[in-house]
Amino acid sequence: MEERSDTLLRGTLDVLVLRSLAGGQRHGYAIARWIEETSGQILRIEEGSLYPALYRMDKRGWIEAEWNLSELNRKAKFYRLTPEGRLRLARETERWLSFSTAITQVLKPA
Amino acid sequence: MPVWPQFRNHLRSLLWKVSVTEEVDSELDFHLEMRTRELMAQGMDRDRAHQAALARFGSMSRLKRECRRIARSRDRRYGLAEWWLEVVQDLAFALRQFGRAPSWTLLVVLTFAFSIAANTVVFSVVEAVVLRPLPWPQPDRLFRVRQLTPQGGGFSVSDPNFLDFQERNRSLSALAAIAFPPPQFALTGNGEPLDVSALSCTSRFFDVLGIRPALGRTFVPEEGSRGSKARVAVLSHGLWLDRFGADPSVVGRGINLNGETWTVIGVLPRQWRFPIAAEIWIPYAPDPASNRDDHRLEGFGRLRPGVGAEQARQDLEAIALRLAAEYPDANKGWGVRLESFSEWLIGPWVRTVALVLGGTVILMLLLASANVSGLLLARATARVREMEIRAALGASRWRIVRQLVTESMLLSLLGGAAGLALTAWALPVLVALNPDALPRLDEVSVNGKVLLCALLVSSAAGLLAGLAPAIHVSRGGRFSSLRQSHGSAPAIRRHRDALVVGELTLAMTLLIGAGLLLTSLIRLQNTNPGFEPSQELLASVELPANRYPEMSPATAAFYRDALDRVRGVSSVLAAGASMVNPFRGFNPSNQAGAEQARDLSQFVRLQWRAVTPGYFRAVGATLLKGRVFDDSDRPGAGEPPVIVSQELARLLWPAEDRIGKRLQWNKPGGAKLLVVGLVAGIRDVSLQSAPEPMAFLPHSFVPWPNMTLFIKTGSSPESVASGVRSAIWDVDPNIPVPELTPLSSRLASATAGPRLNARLLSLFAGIALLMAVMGIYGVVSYEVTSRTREIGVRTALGASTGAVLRLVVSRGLRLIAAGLVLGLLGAFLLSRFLGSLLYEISPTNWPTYAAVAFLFAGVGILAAWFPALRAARVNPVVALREE
Repeated sequence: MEERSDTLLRGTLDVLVLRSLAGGQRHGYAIARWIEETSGQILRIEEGSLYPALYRMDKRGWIEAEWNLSELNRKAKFYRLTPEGRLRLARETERWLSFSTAITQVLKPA
Repeated sequence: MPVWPQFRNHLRSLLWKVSVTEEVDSELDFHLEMRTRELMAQGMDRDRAHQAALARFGSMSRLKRECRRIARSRDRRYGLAEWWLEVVQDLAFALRQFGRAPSWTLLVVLTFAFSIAANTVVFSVVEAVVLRPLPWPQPDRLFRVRQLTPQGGGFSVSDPNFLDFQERNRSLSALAAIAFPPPQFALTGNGEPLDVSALSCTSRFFDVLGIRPALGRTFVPEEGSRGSKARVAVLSHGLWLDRFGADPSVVGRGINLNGETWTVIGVLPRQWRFPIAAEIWIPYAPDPASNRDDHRLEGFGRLRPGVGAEQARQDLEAIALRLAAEYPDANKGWGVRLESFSEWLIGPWVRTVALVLGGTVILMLLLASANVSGLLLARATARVREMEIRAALGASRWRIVRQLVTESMLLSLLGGAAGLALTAWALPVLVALNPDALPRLDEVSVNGKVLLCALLVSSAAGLLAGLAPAIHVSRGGRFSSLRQSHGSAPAIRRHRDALVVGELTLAMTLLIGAGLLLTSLIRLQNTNPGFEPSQELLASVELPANRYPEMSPATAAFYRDALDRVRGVSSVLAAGASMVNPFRGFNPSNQAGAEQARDLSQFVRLQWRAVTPGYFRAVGATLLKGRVFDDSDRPGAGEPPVIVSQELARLLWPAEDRIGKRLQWNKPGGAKLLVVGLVAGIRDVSLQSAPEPMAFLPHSFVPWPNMTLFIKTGSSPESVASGVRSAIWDVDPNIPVPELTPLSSRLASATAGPRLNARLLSLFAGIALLMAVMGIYGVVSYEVTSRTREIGVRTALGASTGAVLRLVVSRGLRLIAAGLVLGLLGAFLLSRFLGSLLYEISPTNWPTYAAVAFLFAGVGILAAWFPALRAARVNPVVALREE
């Protein structure tokens, strides 16, 4: 319960992280990089929020972690979507898209 | 929430077991390193790149703390889920196993069920009778207040003394009393005349006990004050229910007792029952003018708030000392004592019974566990392959132990459920069969505490039965040894042998205990109470006080005439009367000394009975010397005579001839009584205790108004009942219906407690024997099965049937012998706890030991013989082809 911070931001971060894992497993750094690069460096991920979000989603069973060797041959923790996480991603994406469409609709110059 | 599908992978990641701290540290370090490299690739030097990367984390320590916290709660959640999943797996697996061996499963479950039922039954009884608080407030502050005779025995209080204690004490919030002997009432109107048991008590009696009536009120002080003419009565709940159909309007109405109208003022609560049964309570006003020697009140006091028992005792003792100084004639040397009320209510031997039965059922539980342990081992041997496969697939030893313990726990819990069903069925039967055995027995029920007890007992039994074989079977190195072709691994064999010997020992111990109680019960039931119980009818008569004042010649004349007429009823052989209605608790006592005794310290306590001349012949008492009373013994015709019992004679005149001696009654200088006869002791209060010193006085000298007629008949006691009744009514048609009871049924209720003990323990010992027999049968049977090939070879090589039998049976015999010796030893050590429950039999009564040993050996050998016969019939051709 005490884990609640900024609901909108966290929700947003969660869906971004889930999206980053849609293509396969990644470690935390790769997730951050993927979001930054895919957004054209517009979205900057705070490590201070990313990791708590990852642990939370792991606890909830949306993603799962596994220790593996990284590209640098170092032990790294890789995350992967669970079936439940995949479902979650689909639902959240849907909601985001309809939400942003609505916002765009409103803000569009007449 | 569906957690299991995901955490299979989680399990895999746990193979790299890292602590939460390490997990968070190394994950964040990795991120830091990667970011530093990224920044260096953009041209920063290492230090600045590291600083910049670190800055992006914000407070690193706070972040780590947060991550660790979440990770820990995550691990807890998965840990629990994992554990639960394993339990579910184990349970499902266990159920499949049971399905494959249904008769084996049934056997185990029944074994558990019976022993657990024994535990819950005994626990239910102990809970209701001993542990449950008494149904009135602060029972531990309630005491009996009794006087102490100069010899130190507990005694009733006299009316004037009671009033003085009541008046002068500063330590009791109230002091009340019940008066003896209790009034006898015939309730008429509203159907057949009915004899009701009654007690008279001082007005504050119910306040002292803290009893609020269910209906109406109890007595007010005016009703219990001297000279009050209030005829008011309080009814017991039972009488209200049976006689008045639970009609609330009975309060305020008049009822007819002994031909007089009494007003019902209240009804007592249902759950309240006094140790002395009473259906009607009336008020009693202690008489300050009565004799201080006449002790007839039983006092009950409640401590004033803030006063301790010791303080109260000192307070009352000081009063007793002052009373002794003020009235030295009656009170010199008399003290006072507080006795625990609850102890009196529950009865001292009930705790011993609880201890013995509790010990018995725990032994039974151990026995059942050992038995199931053996059954599990037998199966475990058959399941070695399964265990090997599971171990090969990576199951840890702990996991296999857990699986096996889960199985045994599941079995024991199923057994517990069946046991509870058995308990729910057995308790009402038990109560119905033994109505008078224990106080509060009818309050027994299967409640929450009993359920909890069943759960604990089942779990303990399951754990106990499963753990040893589980550890044994899972012990890695033993797997191969278990698979020897003839299948009897020495370790498992030793284990099973030990279990069987243990079972035999326990069963033997229980059997001897039961044997002792049974022998004791038989002796008790055959006890000579000093009179012959068969074909004896009791008729208790209460004379209306207005026409037959206490101690008046009219009273003596009535009984003389009534007995004469009763003797004339056809098939009545003899008739006499005593003031004591046997085994009802009434026990008049006094003290007496030899003629030369000058001091109370030379006096002895005795029980006394006013009896009519025909009494001794009617009860079949043994006259040892002198004569019994006759009609010439009456006031004015010579010295008052007395007949003494052997026990009294031994105390007063150890060696001399007793006939013609004189007895000083009550105190030095008291009445002198001439000893005319010596009789063997009589028990009319309790069968268990040895006859007490007793003196018999002629009824003509002490015309007690309420007497019990002892009528010896040549046919059945019931057949003369109506004749007896009309004979009494011929003398005076206006006396209430006498209560008629065959003495045999009175005796049966006097032995109800010991009967319950013996019945329960015999039942338990029977089950124990059955389980032990199953143990032996199992071991020998298993021996035969596992050695079929060897036996086949021996037979083929020419071994005789006898030789084969010896081979197989000898092992069973060795086990029986070991169990027998250990069981005798165990019984010898444990039976002392039975001591106080045994009647005229020592806890080491060797004939009982020998009889049980024979029975035990016989049954044991039979159990070994049957499987052995199977061995003898082994066809060598078939046996050898087996492999």
